[in-house]
Amino acid sequence: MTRSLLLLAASGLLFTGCDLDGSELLQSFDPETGESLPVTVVDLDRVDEPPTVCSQEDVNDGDCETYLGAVGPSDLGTGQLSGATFTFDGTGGRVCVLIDPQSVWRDDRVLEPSGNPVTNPFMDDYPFDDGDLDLLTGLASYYTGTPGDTMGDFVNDFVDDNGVSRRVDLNLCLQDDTHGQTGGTSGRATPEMCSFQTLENTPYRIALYAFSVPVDDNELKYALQVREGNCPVQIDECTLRGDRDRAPEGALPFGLDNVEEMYCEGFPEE
Amino acid sequence: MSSKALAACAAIILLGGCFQEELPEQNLSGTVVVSGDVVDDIRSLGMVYIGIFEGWNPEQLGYSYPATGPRVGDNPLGDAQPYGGTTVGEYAYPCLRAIQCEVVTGRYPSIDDLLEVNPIANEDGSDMTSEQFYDQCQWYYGWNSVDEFRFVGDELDFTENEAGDYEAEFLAWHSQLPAGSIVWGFVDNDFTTCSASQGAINRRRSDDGAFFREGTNFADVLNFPDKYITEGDLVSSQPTVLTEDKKDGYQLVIDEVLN
Repeated sequence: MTRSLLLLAASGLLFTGCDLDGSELLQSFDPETGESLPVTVVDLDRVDEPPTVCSQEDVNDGDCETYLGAVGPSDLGTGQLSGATFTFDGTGGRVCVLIDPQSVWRDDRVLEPSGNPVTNPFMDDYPFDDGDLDLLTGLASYYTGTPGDTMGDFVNDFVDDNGVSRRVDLNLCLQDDTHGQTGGTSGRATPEMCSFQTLENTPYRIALYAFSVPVDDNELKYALQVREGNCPVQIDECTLRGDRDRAPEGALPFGLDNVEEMYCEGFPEE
Repeated sequence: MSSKALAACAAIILLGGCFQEELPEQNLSGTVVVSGDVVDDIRSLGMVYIGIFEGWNPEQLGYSYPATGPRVGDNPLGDAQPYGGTTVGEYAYPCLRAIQCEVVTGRYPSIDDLLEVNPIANEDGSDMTSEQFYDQCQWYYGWNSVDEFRFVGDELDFTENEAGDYEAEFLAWHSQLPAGSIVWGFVDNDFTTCSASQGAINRRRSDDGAFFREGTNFADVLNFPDKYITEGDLVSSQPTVLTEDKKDGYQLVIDEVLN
């Protein structure tokens, strides 16, 4: 009898252990409703005011318009990704794509070691509004997803001369990682860019993937520019503006609510 | 009853051991021969890279090279898309940064040999002695015997054959081996394939207060060998062609110096 009770208790404990729910750890978990948010795949070709390819003249004059968009959370475990696609015709020259995911990522905490937020206006950040967006581009005909429905990539299958099934990545957006190796992407809240040669009047597609979304609202804002010509030598958080939310009251010092403005402009003069 | 159950279990285990997974990936083994005509000192031979590729295209770059896939984007060359590959020797962190990324395993029978090929200057300008190098390695790795040195010892990769060439065994794990594919290889004699910013984190960082990586090879060496092949490196002027159902006994000759 005692043994049966023990077995029963052990079984109960085991079943209780199996009742763990890790969904709260997923980026798609909505704490307000307790449910998982669906992935969102945005076809930017069908929005009311889609992005445009900025002409070289406007690039030179600094008149390029920045497209501001937002995507929802990805379900990385199942491979269902949120993201957005934009299709444009090649110009016959090089085209540069720049993205900046929400908001700013503070990796400069050692710039000024005094610990004084007045002398170091970049000391404070609101870390719960940051996300990570990754960038791929390529010929639209090689894109494996369906705009507005499912995110894909530019990895295609072929059979080689020896009859072996192979895969080839035809992503044209080649970014270097920290070791100088091709194939890198930037991390949290950090902008990405790449340029590539295009064929005239040939459709190219830009694919933006939500790798992580801000934990405060499960929505990742981003800024996007598509330009004629090469990319700038260097970009930073302030090259494209608008990829931010209003920070909650008290999250930033001196009553500020725009972390991007605080980062790029510093504190207002008193 | 229990003996029958045991017999049944044993049979299941035995049958399980006989299970053939029919995986397309197989191991490929053979010998790589580095011609004695292109080697001055076998101790200074760099890391040997051996790949299994779809085909061979000596015209594209003007020297023996695997066939490549399409050139994508700004890549200067297409991906050679190896089925698999291996190396003879690997980069080992030699206890101090002065010769980081310059020491390959399987080349040095003794510390004296290593220091003869890779002389190290002390702070006062004198040459580092074997004892000093041993002490440095003892401090860095905690080795207490020269037998523990992974880049020094009697088990060398290459042996000299009767013809005066140098031979080493190679084994490429888990690769597709279709008939008609080729084995091609090169020797990186100037260590351009080593990335000093990758590899294990220095294991004495808490003692010396510095953070660095011990160094290891780049990940795409067999995908884009041309990125790393430079003057003085060696290549196989002719590939070895794989035949149907043969997985062992291949020989690859590396015999051409690139100028």
